[in-house]
Formats: sequence, C-alpha cells, structure tokens
Amino acid sequence: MKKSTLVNPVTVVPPLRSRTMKNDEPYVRRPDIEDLLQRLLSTDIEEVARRASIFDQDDPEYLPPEVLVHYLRRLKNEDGSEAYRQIFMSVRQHFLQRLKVNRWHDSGGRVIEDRFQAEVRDRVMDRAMEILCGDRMEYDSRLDYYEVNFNGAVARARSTAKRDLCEQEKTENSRSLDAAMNSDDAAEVDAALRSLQGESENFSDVIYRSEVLSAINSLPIEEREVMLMLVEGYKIKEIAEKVGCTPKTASERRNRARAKLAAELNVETKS
Amino acid sequence: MNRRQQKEKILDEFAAEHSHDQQTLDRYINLYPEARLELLELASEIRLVTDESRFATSPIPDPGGDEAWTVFSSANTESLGRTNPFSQLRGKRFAEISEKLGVSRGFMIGIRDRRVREDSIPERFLSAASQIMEVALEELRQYLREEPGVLATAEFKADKKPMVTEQVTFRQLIDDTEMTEEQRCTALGYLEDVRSD
Repeated sequence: MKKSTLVNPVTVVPPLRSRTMKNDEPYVRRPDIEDLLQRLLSTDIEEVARRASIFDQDDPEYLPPEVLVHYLRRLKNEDGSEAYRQIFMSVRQHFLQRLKVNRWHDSGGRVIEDRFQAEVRDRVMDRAMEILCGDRMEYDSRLDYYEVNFNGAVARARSTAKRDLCEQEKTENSRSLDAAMNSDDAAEVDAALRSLQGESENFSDVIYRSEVLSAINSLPIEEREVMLMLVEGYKIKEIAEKVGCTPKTASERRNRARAKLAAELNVETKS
Repeated sequence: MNRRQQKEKILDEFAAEHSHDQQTLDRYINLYPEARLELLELASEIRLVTDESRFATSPIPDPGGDEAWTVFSSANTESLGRTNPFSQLRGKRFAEISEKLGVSRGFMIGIRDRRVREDSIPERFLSAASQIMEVALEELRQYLREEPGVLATAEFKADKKPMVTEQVTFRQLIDDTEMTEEQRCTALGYLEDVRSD
C-alpha cells in the first residue's frame, strides 16, 4: 500500500449540494464542524488519519465523524494510501459504535448476538456502504446529511431499518400484550419513561433505554404516539390538542400503554 | 413528490437539524402534523444514538471491514458490479434474498463473504440463489470460488494482525450461524437434496 505524501489538495472547504425542502437552500454544516475543517486545511492526511483513530469525545484531538466523512469524500482519489484506509475504517467504527448489538455466550461458548439489533446494524451498514461507494463515482447528496449531523443521519437510517424490519416481522411476532392489561406496575414504567429523558449516566443505562424504546415501538400507533410525546415533555392537554382527541382519551391511551409497557419490561427483565 | 417521499424528506430535514431540542421538534410537528409519529420516533432515536456514541471506549470488532474496504476502494473502477454479484444486493434487497432462500441474513453474509468452500455448497442452493439474485449460475460460482481475502476475525484485537479467514463447509456454516429452527431445517434441506441425487 503506498504511503501518501498528500497535504490537502483543496484550499477551501466545498459547500454541500443537498437543498432543504422548506427554503430550497443548501444544507450547511454545523459551525464547529466548518471551523474544524477550515483549521485542518493545513494538516497533512497522515495526521488526520492518526486523529481519526481517537474515539474519546473529550480528547482535544478528537475528530467528529462529520469531519471524517468529509475527508472520505474529498480525498476520493487517495484510495491507495494507508491514511485514507484508516479514515475509512474509523468512519465504519463510528457507525458501529452507534449501532451497538447486545452479545452473550451460549452454553457452547459461542458468541450470540441479539438478532433484531444485528439485523438493524447490518441493514444500516450495508446502506451506508452503498451510498459511500456510490459517492465515489458520482456525488451523492444523501451523504451531505452525514456531514451535517452524523448522529441524526445514523438515527434516521436506524429508525427506517427498525420500521422495515418490524413490518417484515409483524406477522411473525405473535406475542400478545393484551394479557398485560392487568399489570399495575406503573411506577416502573414512569421510571422507564424518565430514563429516556436527558443523558445516560453509564453504559447499562444506554442498553436499558434501548430496550424501553423498543418496547414503546411495539405499542399500537395511538398509544405509541402518546408515550413518545410524554417522553418529549408534552403534557396530556398538549398531547390531546396535537393528536386531535380529548384529554380523557389521551389519558386512557397513556394508561393502556403504561400497563402494556409494565408487562413488556417485566418480561424482558425476567427472560 | 408523493406523500411518502415528502414524509421521508421531512425526516431527512429533521435529522439534519443542528439541534434536536423540544423547540425544534415542536416546530416540525406544527409544520408537518402528518409526520408527527415518525418525528417523535426519530427524536427518541437520535437521543439514543447520541448517547450510545458517548460510551464508545474501545474499538468494536469489524469482521466485514476489510471486505468493505476492498469494495469501497474499487468503487470507482468499471469492474465493480461485474465481478461481485452481491455488490448491488444490499440492505432490504439482501434481506429479501435471505428470506426467499429460507436462511438467516447472517448465513447469507457468510456465503457473500466467501467464508464457505465453494465445492461444499449444494447445487440446489447455488441454483436457487442464482435465480433469486438474477445472476448467471456460473458468475455466482466463479465469485464464490475466489479467495475470501483478508478479513478481520470476530475476535480481532489490536495486538493481533488481521488474518485470512479459514473457510468452512456449508454444513459447518449452518452449525455456526444463529438461525431459527425453521431456517436451520431449510438450510439442511439443501444438503439432503444433494445426498439423495
């Protein structure tokens, strides 16, 4: 593999080409990303690659994935360099870190992955790689989203993959939540909903939040909507206004959803 | 732009917002009430993804990384797509193929990544796969015959160099891959059919 001596072939950071629907204006990068890209113009590619391998967001040399995606696109003629390869691998790591899959060992010592999460991860990774490859041949404006807000773009892709997979498996998933209606463990559910607000304190919180969100997503649409709005901080009266129902109906949906979630989370904890 | 496409565009636009606080979400819900549920789901998903990224302490095994690099680095050459019959079969399309063949996606990834010795793959499976993938049987066979290339192992650690993954038999892949009982029976069925020939 050849060693690159490239500094930066471009002296300005090119603007993005994708345009917003509302104002038909080009998307713009976040000011901190734009600023960082400007400052990196005088940095050679090896140094960028070295910093690309730093994943601690508190490290002053950390480069956000938005910057790395930009480099992948801008230096597309550098495909023979080790530095370029390192940047590519780091971008994949950023994806994988946002597409975590629970793992455990079975009795035979084999590593087992959570099937649903693994499927979602593979779908998102495949899709992302397809777009990255396509962009090498012809500018693909879908990658602009990853330069603007990488987390938002991954979440968007993950959300779509989950939805598609749920639709596909709807007929397979016959577990009924109706029996859960007798559950009165509302306190646990309220705690679970609170856990979705703000930031997690540790990694086990992240896993828990992921499970809570999956449980909410398994609810019928009307109940799911109410629960997600509660998570976002809306009051019952506001929810009723937005959804177009009475506050009493909104409360009933909340109560039904709460009972089902209690059973669902209880089942998951015990299994 | 139909309604579905418009909704997708709204979600793209929301995902690309610089901030996803309640004020931003509220603005979108008021502007696009028809996409309310999807916006709410996406807002939760974004928070979760952002959270997950903060706890990234060590590299995650990336067994498909080397293969992905090979595809990516050759993506600007004309040969792409002609030599790899799987190159255009990604995401949902890839899942559909696994489903139609009655095996898990993980199993098909093993086939795609050439982790299986070509001479151990039953004719019936190859034939069904080539039809579903809409590629010539010989083209598929040719691709699967090639070396698997350098792939990082699942247990790859920083102190261990990437190595060429040892190929296994079709039967071994069935044993090694997580599948439902139904999928396992289907996969074994491809073998049984060959034996009865």
